[in-house]
Amino acid sequence: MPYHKDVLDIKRNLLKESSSPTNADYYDPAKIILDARKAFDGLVPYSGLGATSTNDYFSSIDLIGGSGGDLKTAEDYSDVDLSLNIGGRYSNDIIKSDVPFFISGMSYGSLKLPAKIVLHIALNKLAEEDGICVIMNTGEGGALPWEIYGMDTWNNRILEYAERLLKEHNLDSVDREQIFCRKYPLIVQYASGRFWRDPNYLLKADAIEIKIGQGAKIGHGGVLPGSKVTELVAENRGVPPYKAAHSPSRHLDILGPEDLVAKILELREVTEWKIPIIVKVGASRVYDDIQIILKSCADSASIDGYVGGTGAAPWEIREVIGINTIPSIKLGKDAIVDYYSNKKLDNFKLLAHGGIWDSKRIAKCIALGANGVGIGTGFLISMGCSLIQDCYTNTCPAGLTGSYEKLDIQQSVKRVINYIKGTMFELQNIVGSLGKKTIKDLGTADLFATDEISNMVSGLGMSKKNYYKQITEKIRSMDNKMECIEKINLS
Amino acid sequence: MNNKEKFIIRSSILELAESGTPRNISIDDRIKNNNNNNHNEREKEKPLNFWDSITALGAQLSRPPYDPYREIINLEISVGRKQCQNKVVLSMPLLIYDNYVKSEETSLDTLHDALNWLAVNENINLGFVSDKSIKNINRKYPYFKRIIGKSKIEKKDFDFEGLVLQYNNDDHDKFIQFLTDIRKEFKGPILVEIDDTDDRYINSILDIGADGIVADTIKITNQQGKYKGKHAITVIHDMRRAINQYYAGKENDGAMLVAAGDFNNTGRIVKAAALGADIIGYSTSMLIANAANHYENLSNTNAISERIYRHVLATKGELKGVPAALGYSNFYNMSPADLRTSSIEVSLQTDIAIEGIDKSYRQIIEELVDEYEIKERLNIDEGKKQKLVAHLLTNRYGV
Repeated sequence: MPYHKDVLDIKRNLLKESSSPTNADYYDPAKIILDARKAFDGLVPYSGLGATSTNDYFSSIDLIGGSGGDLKTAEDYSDVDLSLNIGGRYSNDIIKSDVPFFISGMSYGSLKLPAKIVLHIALNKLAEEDGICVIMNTGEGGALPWEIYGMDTWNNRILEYAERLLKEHNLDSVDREQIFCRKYPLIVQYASGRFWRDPNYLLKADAIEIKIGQGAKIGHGGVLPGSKVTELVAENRGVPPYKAAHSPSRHLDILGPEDLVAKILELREVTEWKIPIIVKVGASRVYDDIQIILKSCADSASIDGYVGGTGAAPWEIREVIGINTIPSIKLGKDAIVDYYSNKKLDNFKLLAHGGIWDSKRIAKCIALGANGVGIGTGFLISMGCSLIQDCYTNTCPAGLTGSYEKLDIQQSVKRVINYIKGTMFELQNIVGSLGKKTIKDLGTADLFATDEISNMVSGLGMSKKNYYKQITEKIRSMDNKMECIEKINLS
Repeated sequence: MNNKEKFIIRSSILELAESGTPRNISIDDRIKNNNNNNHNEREKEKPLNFWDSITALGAQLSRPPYDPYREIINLEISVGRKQCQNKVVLSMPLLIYDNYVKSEETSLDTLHDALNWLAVNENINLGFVSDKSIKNINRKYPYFKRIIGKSKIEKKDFDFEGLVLQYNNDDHDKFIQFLTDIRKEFKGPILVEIDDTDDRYINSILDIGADGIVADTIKITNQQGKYKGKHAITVIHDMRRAINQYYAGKENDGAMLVAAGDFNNTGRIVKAAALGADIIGYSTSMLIANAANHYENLSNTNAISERIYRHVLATKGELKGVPAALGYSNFYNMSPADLRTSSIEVSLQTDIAIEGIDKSYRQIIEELVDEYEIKERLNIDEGKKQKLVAHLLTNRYGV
């Protein structure tokens, strides 16, 4: 079949079409490019990062108080406690972080090796030089050798693989001492694809996260497009190179609540009941899912909101499925409150992800009921991501998720450290200026919403003091006009 | 999140990453300031896109998802009610509808080739609706002839598998007579395009034996009438309710709702299907995929047909993926209960539950009125309560 025009030509022509007045009402350029891509290769189109939400509610919810919520203050609030502990509900060990945020799951393969190394070095440096401990999540693609082994335990095979990884990525000059050690807590993901070939993956972790779903592709499983499955990535994951690595939409052995309990118990046996187990779900049927997680033997639940996502996801699945982070925290909190209504509170923790990029958003999530938050895109941006959303291709202009663009390791490490420290200082100022000693003291009383929908979905406005009052005033005024309400004496 | 917001988020994070010290202003405050200072009137007046305010609930723990790569997800649908003798089976819930963009002969030829290839190579049977005559030579796909303004068709002209008739508002009785006559002679499915949800039309049309109704959402929301200025989702919601009311207490024998118009991507198809449409009249997106033929070598129709062919294949993949992720092995099992909205307006127009609350706006207000009644020790009769609710729905808090 003759076919001599390239995709750029099609895109150009379609964009010309969209600018004509008759079509402009119905089409936006992004959707037209989507059609062009479908027409070009006949495949389901993918996209990078999370969904485009019409309303994520963050900018219509704010912290209460005259000076409350200030990022910069004249006072010194460095003694404000921001720590986050995960575990201890069923596990014997607890993982501790000095900040209530951590690096969300972004695997090797989804991110290029230099970007993974930047995050690794930055967390090592923070722990060593500043004594700030921040948790990292591996993502579902398996861990890198230096993440699960200390150098003292390396054998020749591991050393050879680690050296090969660095050499192939032109990272020969990077200081081995900075890389070949881990000084921060590591959460490893146990996902439906089981992309790890080393049993130490689970045994050497500080916590395990069973990934049931994620915000960008709820109910769809993970995917790493073939162009990103290089030989080294394939070797790390134990899959064939240059073929899309699809993880199934569900764990083949977790189809319901009982299976989840069995799986958690199995993992607990393997890890001798030491390490915490987290269950991660995308934000959809949050109340039901969190209830199930609460009844399983998990230590913590993690919810990934609609806007969450850093890798590749089918465009339509990403845009169509999921609910926003704020309502999902509210539903998660409702489930927890209901569950503990006739039980003694324990160490169960609720973690939130999705569209949480800075200190104020972290504070809002924690005030709403989350105990900690995961940040993915924020870290990518601090390393230079320009939000092009081409993470699913091998053409990331910042050299983070693919391509031969060189990432400046030292500069990026500095930026990641700055981002963490800056966010931490801002959080301390926010919490301190609200007159609190610890971030755990934040609650819904510290928040207010500025519009009706945000009031509702966050659960703030359903309190009697504002929403109900407004409504009842309206009913009264209506009542006077209609004279329809007959007062009866029930006493 | 629009492009401006993306810029704000990125510059704010980079500011923090460069300095490592607290910023003067947070991302949310910058977004708020930007919205307040937005002097672009066109941007301000831009109406909320209702489609984008609706999302669906995925399946995970409380309901396991299906795997579209390894399991069968049914997209097949049979057009025609119980009494219809020659039902048409479509492989996907799509009828290619060519009424909006005036297709040229070349476009129709390319579409014809693409639909034939799909039928032969992929076993994908897509219906095509057109008021133009399609040559029957080598046609492998079902063709629905669209009839406008006629009152008689000869039996010898039945070179189509289905019929789409346009309801004649000006002469109801004449149209009903026409439908009755043609139902007697034509054994395939007959769909009727209507503009209103009035029982008078729907009941009489279905009573005579029409196999479904077609709601052309663009036409309905643009013309004078109760849907003037409303959104396509309202039309679909009301049409589905009208069909359900027709079958109240009885089993639906296959009467279907075809929603045509404002559908240019898979997301909208899925949301429309969950709202109640059985089949989507899908034209514009296909033709946009085809649009390059205005700029390319028109003689190379093969290239254009191939594009349409591939576009349909990709769309089929997407249409399987979404219900699977919602926990359904059958596309037609999706329902409004699977949808959530982030907009009060959408909830008001379609009774979709608001995210985070899992109740529609109407339900919330009704509960508040009940609560008020109990607290104030009142006795409000049902009719007056409904009046109160209606008042509160139109005079909303903060509006």
